[in-house]
Amino acid sequence: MILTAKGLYKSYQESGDAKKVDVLKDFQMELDKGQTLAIMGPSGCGKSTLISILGGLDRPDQGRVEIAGQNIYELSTNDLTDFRAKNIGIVFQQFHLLPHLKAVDNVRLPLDLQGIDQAKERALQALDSVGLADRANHFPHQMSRGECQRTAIARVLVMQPQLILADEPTGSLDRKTADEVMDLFFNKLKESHISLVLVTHDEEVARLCERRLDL
Amino acid sequence: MKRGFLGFSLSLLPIALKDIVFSKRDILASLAVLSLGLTALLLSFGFKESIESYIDANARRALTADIRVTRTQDFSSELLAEIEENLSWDQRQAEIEFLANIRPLDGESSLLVSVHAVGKDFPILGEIELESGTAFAEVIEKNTLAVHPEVRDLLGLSPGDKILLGNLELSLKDVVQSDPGIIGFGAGFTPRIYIPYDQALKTGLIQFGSQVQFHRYYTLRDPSRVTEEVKRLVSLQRQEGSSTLSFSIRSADRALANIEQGLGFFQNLLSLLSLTIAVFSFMIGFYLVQIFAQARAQQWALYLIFGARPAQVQWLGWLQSGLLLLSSWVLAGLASFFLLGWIQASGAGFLPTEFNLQLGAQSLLSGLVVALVAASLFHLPTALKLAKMRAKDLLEQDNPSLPELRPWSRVWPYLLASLSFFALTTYLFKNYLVALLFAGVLILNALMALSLVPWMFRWAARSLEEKPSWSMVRLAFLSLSRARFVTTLCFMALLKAGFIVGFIPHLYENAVLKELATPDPSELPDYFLINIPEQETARLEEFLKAHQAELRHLSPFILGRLLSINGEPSDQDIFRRFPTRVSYRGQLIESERVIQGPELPAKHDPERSPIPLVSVEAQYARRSGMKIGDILEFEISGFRIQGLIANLRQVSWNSFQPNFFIQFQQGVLEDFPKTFIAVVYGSQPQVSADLQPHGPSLAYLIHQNFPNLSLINVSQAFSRLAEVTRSLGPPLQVLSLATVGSAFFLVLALIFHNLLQRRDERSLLDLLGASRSKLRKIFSWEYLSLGGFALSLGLITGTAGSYFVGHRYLQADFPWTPSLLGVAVAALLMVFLGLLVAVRSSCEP
Repeated sequence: MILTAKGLYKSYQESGDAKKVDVLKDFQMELDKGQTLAIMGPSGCGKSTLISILGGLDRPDQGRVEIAGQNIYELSTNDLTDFRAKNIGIVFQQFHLLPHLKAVDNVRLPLDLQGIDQAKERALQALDSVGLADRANHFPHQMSRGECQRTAIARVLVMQPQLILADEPTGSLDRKTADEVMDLFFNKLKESHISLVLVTHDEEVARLCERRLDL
Repeated sequence: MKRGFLGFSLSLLPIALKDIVFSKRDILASLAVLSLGLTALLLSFGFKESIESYIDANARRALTADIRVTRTQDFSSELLAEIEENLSWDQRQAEIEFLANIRPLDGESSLLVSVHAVGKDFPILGEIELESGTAFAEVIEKNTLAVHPEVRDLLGLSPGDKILLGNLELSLKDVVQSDPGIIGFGAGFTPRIYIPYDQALKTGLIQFGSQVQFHRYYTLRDPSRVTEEVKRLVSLQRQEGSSTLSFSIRSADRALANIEQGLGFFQNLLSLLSLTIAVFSFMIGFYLVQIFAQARAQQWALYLIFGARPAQVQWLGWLQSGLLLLSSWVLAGLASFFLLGWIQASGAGFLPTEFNLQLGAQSLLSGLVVALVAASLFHLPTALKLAKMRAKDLLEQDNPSLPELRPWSRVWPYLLASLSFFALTTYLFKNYLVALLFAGVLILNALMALSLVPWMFRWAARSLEEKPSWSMVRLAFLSLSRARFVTTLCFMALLKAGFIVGFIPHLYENAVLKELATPDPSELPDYFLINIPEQETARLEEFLKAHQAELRHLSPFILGRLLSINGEPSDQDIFRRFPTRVSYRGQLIESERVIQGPELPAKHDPERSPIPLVSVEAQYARRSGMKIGDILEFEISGFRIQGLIANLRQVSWNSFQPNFFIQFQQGVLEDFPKTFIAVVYGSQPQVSADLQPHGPSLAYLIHQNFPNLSLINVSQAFSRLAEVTRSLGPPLQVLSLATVGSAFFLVLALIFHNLLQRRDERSLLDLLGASRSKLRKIFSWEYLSLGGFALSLGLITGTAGSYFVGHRYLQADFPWTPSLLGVAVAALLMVFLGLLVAVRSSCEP
């Protein structure tokens, strides 16, 4: 299994409000290498919280998360950061590209942060693999939303992670663009045997995944 | 691959730089604002360093020794032995100095000069260089003299010409090219001549009671111990019954005290103005950096997600702040370099000779320290927020923002900034009290901006609730009723600008200009006479009468030493270094008036007052720590004389009348040796304002018939004084204008940036039906109300401050009304502000 989540509990208590909100209650799941899983549910059901926990961004109140056999919450903060950088990729609804960096620089950013050699070459390769080789020197504001999301996908793929977490990746795209981007995305995942946990409201996108989980 | 901070920094430096370049509008605004503040500070640092370098390099050279001991009578061998026994001296020299008129034997002109009778080896330190290249020792021979260039030029002399000095005929041997002893403000009103030491007595001008000074110069075996050596001499000076009582001491470390004081005044003014500019530019820079940081929350969250450590993200944030301040420091350094050069060139009149105004390594380093500290302080609130930042915010928010801090966490960066500012102010002024005052005023301004301003505009908005035609104005006032950072800054900056505009013109017009106002020429005397021997006064009066001239205000001139005030030994530097000049008169002359205490009875009555009464000039009294009721004790010609301060006087020094700091009643000092001073009003046609020698004029005739007295041409002297003071004017005016202009520029930058930040607000107003003209009205009213209130308040407090300074320190009757210039400048600023805001706010939201 590439991802195992067992007995996850997470609740929040708003300041000044005595009532505790249970977001996750004894959640568990497993994901094999190369598998894709769609998580669906109404707003406020805990989808983003789950992604945060699975990505090592938010510690659960109880439970464990194992990725590639490693219980990520046994790691120190610095080790967890390193682990996430190398093994987990995150795709956002709003792309979150840096506006002052060209596409190639945005894609190589994780490599630069980790001090990995040949960052530019690898970034260009990643861009090429998503069909944006000719947009390498363009800024985000010079690209369409679909191109921006593809750039964000290239940024994730360049690190060759074991697991990708995608939070509403088509939420900012129109239907046609969403279909194009997702087709590309899933092809890349299949090629690289990368596992995917995808949070979405979009039934069409959910259908692309092998499994589905409703919260 | 694990990397250290250096590796991380190097890899992310390009990204940080690209971010800065991409945000060029915000960055340029920040750069402009911060460079302005740092330039102001570097100017101040540079001036301070230049003064210190000048004093260090020249103090010893200016005195030409480590210690100088002076008497108004020649040193007896016993006295010399006592002095030298108490001094670890290495070399020594003697000099006699006095004022006298000289004239060419074949000419019909004369000139008042400062005569220096010296030995061949004079001076001990430094060298007097002559134009011909001959050694000074060779020139100082029997019956020859060397003169300063002004003497040659004014009298039209050539080497070999014969000169008459008192009874002595001397031959001009050479002209002085450089003289270490005149470092400072040049030759002043009396250029120097050098004659052989043993010729001084033969001039017949050195008499008991005349203004002659006998100097002994000493270099020490260990110059670093000058303070201890001086202390030993001072204690010798104070010994009861000792013949050592009557000498004054001057040391090299205080040789340039007057210059240091004068330059120090300008330095303090420059520091005050530069700190004012700096504090506002840094506050606005801080504001802009926070905006910049706020917009980077998304980036920083992304870095955290992609594997950067929190400490590494913090470092990146500081790096960006540091790069900004570093760039500003470089720009400020370049600007300061050129500005200091300009001040040097344009301020030549008031800067002393060989003073080099420059930006040294120390100043640049100080500026760099300020920049780096500022970078850290600017980043601190962001750092605190970053520490609380969660990377998962990127998943939960479309546009993540930096988290809010708790109240205490928000306050302590400002506390640290205040402490740093306090340290900087103390460094510049070398005075904790001034730093406290400055900080206190700023805090008061801030409190006013945070409390008075919102309250006032809230009340104003409420009063307009039922007036629909005033809705736009009401909206403007409602906006001002919130205590926002921008509003606070604008208010403080404009309040300061208003204060300067109210204070400086008012003070300048009522104090400086009045003091230096050219009196009516018919009121000025033609000549000022000094060193009039007592036995010549009657003959002089007759002589002048015979030449249709009049001798007025003949006043005795007595040299003494102030020993104590109320029994406490007077150890003030000025009393140690110089004899005290006292006089007596039965009634005041037209250039003086009593401002505190009763008029003195004309003659001392021992039955009514056992201690004779004295009148002291008010400013002198304040500087010396004297007040009415104090008992002063003097030593005059070996006798101890007491005086009880009965009143304080105000003297109009630019009247060129015989005025004194300390005046006794008649019937106290008549029997003491004295000379006289007086003024001459004559039938002198067209007193020349330039420094040309006069032809066969009354001055020449006076000198010919009374060779022992010295004569000053008043109009020449006055125009020299006015020239020096006028040269001070432009730099002062430029500095004041620069401060006001800078404050205004900063305010405009802030307002324009703020209008940009409020584009959502403007868009909403636009959506809700506000036309361009209504938008213009709202924003113009907002900033004009704030600016008008701040400038008016500043103008009033500035005028009041000037009035207080004039009344308290200058004993002058200043009017309450603000300076017209000040009001005009304030009004102009308002109009300009209104126009710019109106134009900017009507741009597309």
